[in-house]
Amino acid sequence: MTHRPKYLGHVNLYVRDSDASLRWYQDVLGLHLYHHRPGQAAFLSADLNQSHEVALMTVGADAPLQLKRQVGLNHIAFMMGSLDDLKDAYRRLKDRDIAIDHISDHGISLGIYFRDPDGNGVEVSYELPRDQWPRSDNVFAVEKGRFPGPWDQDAKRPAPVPAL
Amino acid sequence: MSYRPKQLAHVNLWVRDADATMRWYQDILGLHVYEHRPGKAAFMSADMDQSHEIAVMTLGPDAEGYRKGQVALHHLAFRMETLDDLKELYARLKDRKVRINTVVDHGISLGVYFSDPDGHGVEVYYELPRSEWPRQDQVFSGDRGHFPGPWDADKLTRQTLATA
Repeated sequence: MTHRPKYLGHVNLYVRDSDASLRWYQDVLGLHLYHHRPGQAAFLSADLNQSHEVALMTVGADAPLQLKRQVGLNHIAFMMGSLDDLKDAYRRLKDRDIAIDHISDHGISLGIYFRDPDGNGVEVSYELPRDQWPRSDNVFAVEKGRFPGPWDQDAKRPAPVPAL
Repeated sequence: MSYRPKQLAHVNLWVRDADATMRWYQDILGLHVYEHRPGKAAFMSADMDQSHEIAVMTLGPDAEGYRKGQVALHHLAFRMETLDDLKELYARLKDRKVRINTVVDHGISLGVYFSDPDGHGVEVYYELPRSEWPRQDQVFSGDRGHFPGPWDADKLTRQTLATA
């Protein structure tokens, strides 16, 4: 027995309109809907073995958004199965005219950052398998430049905040 | 190729004191620290194959907290491998005198809810493997009562948090 969890399973977000957010996560990221309470809540998964990886709960159209420099969510991140899949996701973002905040090369991973309809940060990322990480402590303190792609132009813009 | 991610990978949180928060997640959940930037940020994992499943970034002691009714991260959730592991973690929460907000039976899963030092909701849960779910749509609509345990007295003590 162990008290350590197996893995992060899901995040639960309070949003203005869970039906609108549900459609966005289905369209942009192709998430599967496992449970829907219209007007109230939606439970979505990328990994079909999880009942939900994102839950969206309606708080109402007038709900204040998260402020800058307020305790709370910076972003949630999804892992792509391959660098090619990340390219596919990138093209879909471009195709949908979704503004990309920034792209960051973390050495062992590359992340593309954008926002959901409520301004919650969302990242899609490709990360090298653990057996290919150059080091096993301070894992991000490694050389960059392993992930050239269609995002190279976007990647030149600096990240506004530390954003791993 | 697929633009659908493989899985949820991590959540990145703004906190008042990343070092204090890191120590809390290490102590309570036994997370591994893969990178630490003292005073600034910490990157932690339950699943060692992920460079981080939770990142915490320091804002400073005066950062404003969650305001009721706003758009926000409601909680993040860690999946336990077995129901026995959930019992072990539950015992650890009691031992550490971490206040349990509620315990909710979702039919195919049971979640124990508490809060981290900045007030972010944290859930630890056990979920049946997908092959044992009674249905594949509206997955939370099934019968309750599959998960008796030491938490029975804490169940549904705060209905307001009884979401998912």
